[in-house]
Amino acid sequence: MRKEHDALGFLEVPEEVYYGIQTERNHIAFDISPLLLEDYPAFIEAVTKIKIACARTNLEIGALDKRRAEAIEQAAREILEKKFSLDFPVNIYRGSGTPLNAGINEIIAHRANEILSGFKTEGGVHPSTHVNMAQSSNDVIPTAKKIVMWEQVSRILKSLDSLIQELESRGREFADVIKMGRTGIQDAVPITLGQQLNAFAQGMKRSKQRLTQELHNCNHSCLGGTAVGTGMGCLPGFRAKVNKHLSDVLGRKIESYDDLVDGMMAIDDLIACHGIIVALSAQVWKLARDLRLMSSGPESGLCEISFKTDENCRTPLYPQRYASNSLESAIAACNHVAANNSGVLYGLKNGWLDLGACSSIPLRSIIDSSEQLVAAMNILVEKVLPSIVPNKEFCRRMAESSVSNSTMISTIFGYEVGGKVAHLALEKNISCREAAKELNILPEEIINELFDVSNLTNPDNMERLFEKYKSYRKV
Amino acid sequence: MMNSILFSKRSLNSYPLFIQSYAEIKKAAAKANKDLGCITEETAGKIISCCDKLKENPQSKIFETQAWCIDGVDFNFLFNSFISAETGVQVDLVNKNQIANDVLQTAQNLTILRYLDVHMSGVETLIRALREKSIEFQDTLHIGRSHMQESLPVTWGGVFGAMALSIQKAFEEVNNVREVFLEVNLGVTPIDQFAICVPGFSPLAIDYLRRYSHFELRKPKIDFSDQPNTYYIASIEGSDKFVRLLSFMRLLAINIARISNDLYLYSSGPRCGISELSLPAIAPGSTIMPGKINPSMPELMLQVFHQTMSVDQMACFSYIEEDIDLEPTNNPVFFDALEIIEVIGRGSAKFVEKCVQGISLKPFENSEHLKNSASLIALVKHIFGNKTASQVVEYCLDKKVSVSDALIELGFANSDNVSTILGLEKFKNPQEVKAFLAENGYKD
Repeated sequence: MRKEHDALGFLEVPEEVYYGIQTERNHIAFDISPLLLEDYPAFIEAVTKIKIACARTNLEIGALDKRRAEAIEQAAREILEKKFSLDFPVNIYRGSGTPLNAGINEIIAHRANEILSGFKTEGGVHPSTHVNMAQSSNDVIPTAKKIVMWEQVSRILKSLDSLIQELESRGREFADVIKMGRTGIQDAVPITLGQQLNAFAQGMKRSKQRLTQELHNCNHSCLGGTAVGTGMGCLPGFRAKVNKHLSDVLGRKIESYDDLVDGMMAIDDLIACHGIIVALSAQVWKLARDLRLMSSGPESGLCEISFKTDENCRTPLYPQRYASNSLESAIAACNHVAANNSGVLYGLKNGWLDLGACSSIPLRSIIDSSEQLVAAMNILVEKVLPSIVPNKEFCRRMAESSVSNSTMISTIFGYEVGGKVAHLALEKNISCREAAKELNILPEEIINELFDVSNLTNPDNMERLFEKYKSYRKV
Repeated sequence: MMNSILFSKRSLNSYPLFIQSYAEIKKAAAKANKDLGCITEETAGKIISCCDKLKENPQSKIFETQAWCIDGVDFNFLFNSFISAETGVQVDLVNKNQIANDVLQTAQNLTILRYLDVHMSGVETLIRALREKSIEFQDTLHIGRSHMQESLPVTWGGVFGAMALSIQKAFEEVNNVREVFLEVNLGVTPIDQFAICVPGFSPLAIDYLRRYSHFELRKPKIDFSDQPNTYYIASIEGSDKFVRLLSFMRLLAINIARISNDLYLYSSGPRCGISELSLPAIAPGSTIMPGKINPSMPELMLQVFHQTMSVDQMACFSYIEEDIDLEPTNNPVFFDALEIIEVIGRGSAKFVEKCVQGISLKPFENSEHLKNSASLIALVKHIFGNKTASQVVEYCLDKKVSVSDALIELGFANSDNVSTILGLEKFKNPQEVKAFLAENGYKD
């Protein structure tokens, strides 16, 4: 054990660990769940990258000597290489904020000292004086929050791209699978499976656009604001240079908030960002839910699609169930994302005066949401979409049998005549095509053409039909 | 599962109480199957001793799978293969008369009951600690506030007593919700057409399970005026148990959060805020501001509340998702609920240890705030009427003096009786205040 000292007194810390007295204090006080900061490496990496940028800045402005600055940077790089991944024992509850910033300062200081002198506590690097120079947790954590957001959004975008591609490609494949379209889950007019999948892809492109825009909003930093945004605690030159160094470390352009006081108490950005993620999760949720309903069967349900049996399928009695499980996993994951929104809102609406929010739950939520959503999208791309087998013949038969196809007649002869066709079709349990023939509304070959379902899902074809037979129109 | 599809950070091994529940269920099922002649005594013996060992040491490499499942097939498969591999008994025999889903539902219930037993003692500790504080502070007055503005004095004893009471009430509701989880449906799944239990299995297995688990378990109660399957279906389809559980966990968490918010404000300082209470220091509060201390423990409990709100929503989203005969997505919320029970319980215990026990009053600030409070004018108004009260207020503001000085300087009182008129001691006892005000009310 080694004895360490801080403002509150002395405490013993295990010899072999790199964290220090403050981490030990926080570890003891907040030990309430099995989830630790080490389970959320995204937090740790973001703060560590900020530490590198600040050390370089302090070196450039002459506030930190080369020896210390280089040791700090090397220690920080080792954190990024996950050499100290077990040195983050603080609970995720109350884990972000000062405990996280102070914890990383301690690990870097101890490792830097070791690099310089061979001992963790000798070597002249102090966690607060040197590693944390000109950085309050209120500068570091909101900036880290932006970095975390950027990374989560990027991850989502990557999986989203595959999902859109897969939907479009399967959509093209199923362009000729004509099936019943439904509103209120009741028979409406025909549509193709391709049109449905493609529509999901187009909707998700909208989400993609929002997320891409959001990436730009994540490139703001609070560094140099120190504590409440007034700059107290910074040495000359720090504010001007730090974001250039952070841009170098991150490999993208980072700019200061226009108003640092605003940057530190801002709570809207995470709410907006999570909102966009929730919107996408709802789209994925609808896709999974719709596919699940379409696959209901195998004999008595909608039975529009089935799934290729997976060799991993453990319940041979229910070949469908494995795909169902994948879909239900995706549904549950998307529900998690939606539910997390409550944690984000309550968490951010907790904070007074000059600090926006001190809860780590919103940030934890955005990481969890991204993980869940990525898993949901990946399971659709890898397991569900490739294994869809449309029951093409059955779908077509159902589409042809719909009474709502009488819409073709009502468009030409008005609602009344259309209704007559529909009633006859219902009464005699025949298709609208046959009912129209029985009622002798039009010559048989025209009726056949009008009720050819492959025309009924294509707006251009339909316009051409109506144009061709407009002389019959009696409305 | 592939790495790209990771729904949970944790493996089944992180839930030893859940693994123990499965071990007990498999043991109870083996015992019932033996009694019914479905398996031999030798086979039952093997399964039972394997389950006993698993209960002793609830982990295995085979459970290094992510803690995530939809309908329980995966988990049931894991436990059956574990027992089969350990004992050489066929999987079919291990699983005799059980269906993945009712085994899962039963295991969920047992685990929730265990988590409540293990962790809710933390909440009791919190209630006790707040009561103790209310006794400790029973004689100290502070200025009460409404709309954040000063009103009449109350004792800290009353304030802390009210805190204890609000948590006590919520805690009673949580205790009532245990009833929901005592009803288990092991062996009573009617939906699966391929799995029909031998008659008598269910009551027997539940009876054994009651003995092994020490919980007063019972099967869904049957009212013969209903259709035969009503309660069986309700136990699966209508399983709103997590919605109920989370509703009351939310009630508990929100009450703890409310208290935390108050402590947060009362302790605002140390020099430039309300600063009437002092909370024990946990760690240095800032990496750049020496000497700063943050109200970390109230913050911790607020974060517990934030997460509870997420999981409460998750319970609702899951339940509404339940289509037709089976709730497919209730297991993810089960694991979330475990986290919530754990953090509320352990959080409360830590809150007591690191904060509540060490709360102290700041006597100087409390008495200054009382003495200078403009709200004492309410007393002046009650005794001398509105007109005098307005005159006193104007004088106070104009000359920057206290209400008692103003009363003396304006000649409404003298140094002898001013302490009777404005004496705040009577606010320690509501009856006394009422009697005083009734006696000394302003009469035209």
